[in-house]
Amino acid sequence: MKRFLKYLILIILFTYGLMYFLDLIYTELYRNGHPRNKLQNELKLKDQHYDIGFYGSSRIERHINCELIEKLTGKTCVNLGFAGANLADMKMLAEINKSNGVTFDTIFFQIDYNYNFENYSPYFLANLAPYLDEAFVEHVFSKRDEYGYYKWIPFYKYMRNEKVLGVRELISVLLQTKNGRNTNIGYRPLKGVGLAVRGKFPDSLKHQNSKVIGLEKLYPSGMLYFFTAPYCQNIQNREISLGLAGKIKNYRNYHDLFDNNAEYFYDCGHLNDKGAEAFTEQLIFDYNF
Amino acid sequence: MLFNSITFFIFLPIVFIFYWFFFKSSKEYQNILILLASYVFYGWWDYRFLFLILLSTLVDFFTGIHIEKCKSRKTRNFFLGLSIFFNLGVLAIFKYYNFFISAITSSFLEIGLNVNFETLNIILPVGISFYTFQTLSYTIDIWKGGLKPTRNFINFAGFVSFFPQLVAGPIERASSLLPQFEIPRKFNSELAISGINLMIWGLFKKVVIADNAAVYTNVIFENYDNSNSLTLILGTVYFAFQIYCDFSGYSDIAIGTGRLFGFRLMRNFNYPYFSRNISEFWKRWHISLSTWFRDYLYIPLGGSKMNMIFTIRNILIVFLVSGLWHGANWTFILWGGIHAFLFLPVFFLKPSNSKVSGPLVLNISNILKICFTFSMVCMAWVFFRSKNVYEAIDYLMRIFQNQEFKITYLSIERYNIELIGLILFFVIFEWFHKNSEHPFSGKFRILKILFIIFITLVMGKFFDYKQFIYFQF
Repeated sequence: MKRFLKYLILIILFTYGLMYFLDLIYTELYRNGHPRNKLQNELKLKDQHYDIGFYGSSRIERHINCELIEKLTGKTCVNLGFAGANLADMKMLAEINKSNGVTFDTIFFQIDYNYNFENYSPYFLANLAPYLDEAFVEHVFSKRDEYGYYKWIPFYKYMRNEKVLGVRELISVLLQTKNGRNTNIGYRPLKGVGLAVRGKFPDSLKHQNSKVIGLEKLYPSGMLYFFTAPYCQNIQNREISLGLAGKIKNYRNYHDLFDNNAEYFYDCGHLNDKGAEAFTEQLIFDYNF
Repeated sequence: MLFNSITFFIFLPIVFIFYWFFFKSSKEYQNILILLASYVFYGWWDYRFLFLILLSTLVDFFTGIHIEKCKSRKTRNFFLGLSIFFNLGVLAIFKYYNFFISAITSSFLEIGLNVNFETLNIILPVGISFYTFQTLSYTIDIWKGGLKPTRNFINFAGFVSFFPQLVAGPIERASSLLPQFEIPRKFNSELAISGINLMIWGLFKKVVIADNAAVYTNVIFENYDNSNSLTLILGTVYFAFQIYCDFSGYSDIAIGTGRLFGFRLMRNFNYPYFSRNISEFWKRWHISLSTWFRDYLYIPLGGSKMNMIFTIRNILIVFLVSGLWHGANWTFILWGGIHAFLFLPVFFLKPSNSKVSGPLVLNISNILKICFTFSMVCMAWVFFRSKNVYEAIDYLMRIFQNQEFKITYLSIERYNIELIGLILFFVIFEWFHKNSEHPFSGKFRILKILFIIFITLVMGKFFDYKQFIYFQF
């Protein structure tokens, strides 16, 4: 038995030591290495001022052409949207930016059926994992089931989020390779025309969303705006978004803006580059940038 | 409970500590512990089906005793029939009922009769095909006179439900496993260390090779109608390694876990993709099932002792039933049929090739034979993996019709290159260790183990594809 136990302890110690060591390396590289996605870039923003900022999901990332705004208005603009973002992610990013000294004159949040979700998106949570020892991130995870595992088992958070933070991604960080995702803080246009429907609106909207209330507390009313970006007509229940007007201050609904412009859509929920340009111009006009 | 879950990593040490530290002086207590642990292990998945295992155990325990006790052949046959009827009946209801009902309904429709039989909305209990075959072999062996029934219910229940191999084998014979419950077990460090090594190797195969291959296999098979020839070929190769590493990985962990408790389970895989013909493949693949069918179906049917027609019939029956054993779908039956047609020429042309014989040396002839056998096996896997026969045929037709071998898919999917690299590494690693049951032997043993642990940690998928494929059978 002694021989076996010695062998077992050796294997366990090696595995634990390796996990500890890997955790250190991964954490260091993901926090301080070459940013490979927009979120990593955003988390690194410090002490900057923008005239206009946009938060949201791919329906910001793909729709708001900040270069065009800067060209037409002379104001500085940043597009902080990333695919799959929920309101909770946006609120947290806004809080991080505020604490990092990133300031805006005007901030926009894109809102649609995501009004019904209070949770963080899996992609956002995965990207937060390397920052677990920071209070704002620990606060997020402390209410989640995986918190204990993340905290006490080294490297567990990277094993769990292998798709986003696995060895392949780490090698890319080390080699500083570019990927298909946007590493610039900005707009990523879609090319092509189509009206494919992915998903549908829910049958009803929540009474209220605590994240929206939180955002309204975070920024004064005069600088905070919400809107719903265009959808094509094929999406089911899109009129439900009209109900957001009664729930959110400073809200505009553009869901049917391009009902007669099928050529502006990449798919039913996303505008193509031509549509994004037209939509950006519409915002410039409506908000008098 | 899954071998690749945190629950199992907590469960196993607890059982181990009680087994060797608290109950080491009493094999009776150790067996009770094994039984309880096995029921907890199984019940963790779905406690409702524990009654099925218990019922199967009770039926075979008492029929076994009665078969031996009764002098009259008629009564012995009756009790054997009862055991077979019960075990196959349970399988028929839970696994095949809906399949046969659909087959009968469509047959009636073919002749213009519109009949409507009700199908059942039932879940397939995990591992049912494995433990029913294990208990069947017990009563059949007693009936044949080759085994004495046990009078100890705990030992028998432990044999039926032994948690390391309960849900996906190896399908143990009572003559091999049951006696191990009846003798006192002394801790054997060498055996336990080899068990740990097998578990590490099995986990690597499952979470690194099988689960990474699963990502691409699923994508390719879901979108096969938009894929070019090269992608479709890659899909079959990926699936071949997915299913091999998934199942043999499970078997390795099962055998390794058994060894921690002093049990020796039979080897289930012997580097099957290095087979030089289909006959050899079946001596290296899922050995516990193929030998089960040989001993309890092929030989009782007459084996190859009768004329050629009967031998062909027997071989066809064995392979078709083997296909059906995997699942209630025509794809599995066809998979078995394809293997039968690949097996028959080898069987009749090389009757002397009845053993896995001859050293597996690296020469042109062997490489060609291995590649040919592997491609035939891959072709058959398409039927195994596809949702239906139409899809499988369409998939294979597209490989030949599309004729496009651009590496578009490889360049788009950057991880794909890494998977090919992983598979190549795995094949080379296996080749150099093909004469031992796992690669952690000989020189640099510790270094190899540590390297595999490292690869498992950084490349393993621990959360996306936890389930083992063979659980569904």
